[in-house]
Amino acid sequence: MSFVSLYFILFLPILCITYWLCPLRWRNSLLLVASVLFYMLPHPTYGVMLVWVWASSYLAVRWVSRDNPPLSRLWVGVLGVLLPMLFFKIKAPVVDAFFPQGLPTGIPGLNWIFPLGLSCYSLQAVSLIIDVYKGRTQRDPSLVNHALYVSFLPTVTSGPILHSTDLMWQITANRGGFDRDMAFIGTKRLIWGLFLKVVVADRFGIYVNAVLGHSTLYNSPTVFIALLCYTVQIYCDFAGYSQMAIGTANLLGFDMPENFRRPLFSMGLKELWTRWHISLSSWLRDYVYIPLGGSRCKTWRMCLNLLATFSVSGMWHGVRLSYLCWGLGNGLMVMLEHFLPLKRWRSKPVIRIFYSILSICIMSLLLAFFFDHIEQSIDILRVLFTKGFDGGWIMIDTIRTKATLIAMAGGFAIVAMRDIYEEFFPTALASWHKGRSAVTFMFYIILIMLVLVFGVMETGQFIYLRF
Amino acid sequence: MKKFLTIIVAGFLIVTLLDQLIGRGLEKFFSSATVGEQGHLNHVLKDVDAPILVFGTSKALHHYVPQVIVDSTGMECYNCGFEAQGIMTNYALIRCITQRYQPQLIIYDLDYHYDIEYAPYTNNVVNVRRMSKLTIRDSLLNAIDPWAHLRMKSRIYPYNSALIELVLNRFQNSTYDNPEADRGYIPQHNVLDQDAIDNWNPPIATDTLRLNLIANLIERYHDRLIFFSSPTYQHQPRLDQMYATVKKLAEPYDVPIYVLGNDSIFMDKPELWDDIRHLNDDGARIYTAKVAHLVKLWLKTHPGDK
Repeated sequence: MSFVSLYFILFLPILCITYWLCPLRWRNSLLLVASVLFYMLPHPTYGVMLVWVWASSYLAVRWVSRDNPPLSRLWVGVLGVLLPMLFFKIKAPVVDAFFPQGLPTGIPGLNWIFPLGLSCYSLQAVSLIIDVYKGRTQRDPSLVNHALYVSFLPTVTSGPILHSTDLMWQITANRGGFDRDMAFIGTKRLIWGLFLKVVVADRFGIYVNAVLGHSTLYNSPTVFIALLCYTVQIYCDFAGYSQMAIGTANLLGFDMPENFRRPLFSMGLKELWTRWHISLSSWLRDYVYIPLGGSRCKTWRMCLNLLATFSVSGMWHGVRLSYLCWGLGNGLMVMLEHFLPLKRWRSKPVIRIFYSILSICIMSLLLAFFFDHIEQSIDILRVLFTKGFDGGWIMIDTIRTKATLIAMAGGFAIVAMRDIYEEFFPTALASWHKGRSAVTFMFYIILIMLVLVFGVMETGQFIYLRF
Repeated sequence: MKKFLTIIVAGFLIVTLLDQLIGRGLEKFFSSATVGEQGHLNHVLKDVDAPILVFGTSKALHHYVPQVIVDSTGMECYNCGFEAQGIMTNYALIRCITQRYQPQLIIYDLDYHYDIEYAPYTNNVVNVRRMSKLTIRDSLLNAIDPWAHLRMKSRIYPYNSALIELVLNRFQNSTYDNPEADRGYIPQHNVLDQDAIDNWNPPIATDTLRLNLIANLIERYHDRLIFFSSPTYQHQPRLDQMYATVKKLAEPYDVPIYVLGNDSIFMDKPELWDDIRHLNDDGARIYTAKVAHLVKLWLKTHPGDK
């Protein structure tokens, strides 16, 4: 079930009212049932993977929480949990290489497609195992609480990937009664997320798909602009999804960390990765980069750690050459930035603005690799660097394209204004978030009307659901 | 919680009210449009009363010259083709027009991609949502999307995403506002590049919903329906397979299907083509003459109330 489906719009109010009317001791069980329903409705067979991760992570947590467990237990536990994810990730390129027409047999009801959210809840489960092993989180013996942690409704389909320290204590704690302020913030997040996805991301998607899907037909500037638009599309798509996930959690009385903090204002890729898909970046930092030695080692080793971490990031998106190149490209840029005087540049506004724009351009260029097939990336890069002005411009003379461009510009202007306001006047926006004035109320009513009038209603799927 | 719910319900009521108000405004604005795709739609739905009507995708729009048919048959003809609109829209259009009057002949230009192939992304039904007078509108939309009845409760929804385009139409001509347009036909004058290659070779996968609509069309209008399939620029090896299912559906009702793809008059003749899918005006006139000849033969055996 997608956050932007009518199913969800009907499901959420029923869930919230039932949840808050339900006696406290039954709430986790109710939420677990709702999470499983929410997750399994499109493909009931997805439940097999979910049960595997529940069971293997529960056993692993039990195993590593005993006195002085050896490291091998942790490895076995983590591998056990990651097994289905690794299988499906590796299966895709193997099938492409050896069975171009597809596998002759399928899994009934699943047909070999990647189970939704498997990459996210597997990492969430691994976080719990490692944190219990390290003593950062207490083991909760309740199977219901454990299962709820793994398949928490707001995050089960596509993250954000929570650390055990963010969520487990909230599940086990006595959360108490309905928090009106939190519910209002959650509702506002849901509306803002919907706006980001339906009005901005999906509108940009029309242009991006038209150009990057057939890049060889266009000239270099058109393809470059499409790559910039792809950055905006992914940002608004996943930030929109994250806002809706956090908003849903808020309505159920849970607090969740931000997953995006105005990444388009980053000065450099190093900073960008502390603002973009924060939950994955921080997971990789805490469970891959730091265990490898982090930055407290010799420079060459730190560079190697960075490249390894970003490679893992790329492969998490898909075991494909394209994603590996995307990960390595980002790793290389972050590595290079360690040798630049960024601290000094930060105090010089002109250099800061220039480097921020350059960072977005580099990030967009690297997104040429953010596709399943390397051939598509090669086509895009070939057009970008060899074609110049030779080739088609996106058909700006047609009314439909003009209308799309105007809608894109209008949607992005609202996002940019809000991001500028949040970046430079953070306290004002925080009080706006908490405020319940008539102006705030009308702002969100207007956002809903914009969704109705200008939203793209036909696409429905979030980009990150495919990972 | 009570206060929270009160504000949420108040918000919902305001949104509903605004949706109804803005929706009514959009309905008036769209139904009065005389330019662009919406203007073409309004004209076809409200004013067209020719005895011979042509339906189909952009191929219909650019391939059938009504004047040629008029000259050949002596009967008035109108081209009701729409860019990128397959059987979903055309079935609705035909049903909507026949609520108003009964044409003597319906020429349907079949396009495998938009009318038969399983390709859900081309299920473009935005125009159907705006056919407020169509009595089967809701059931047709529900067949495509089970939530359509709920979505259509919103008055804005039928006009979603189309406002900017309609406003721009007031300042810039669209395909449909071509000054050379004649009875719905839009001529094109490019000449195809000699090196153009048509490597379109889609998989044979039929869409049940689309075929049901074609079957319904045949059953309902079999006494006044002819199917054509436009020429292809290069040889299409699986042409017979593509249209086999429709032929099977049409056979019991004696509805003729003329698959004119792979016709040597048009194949590999770039001077007759605007692009690899569409004939230019010269090609369209030659093709329509061929169509008109077949129509004339059909009219001889189906004299109707001419």
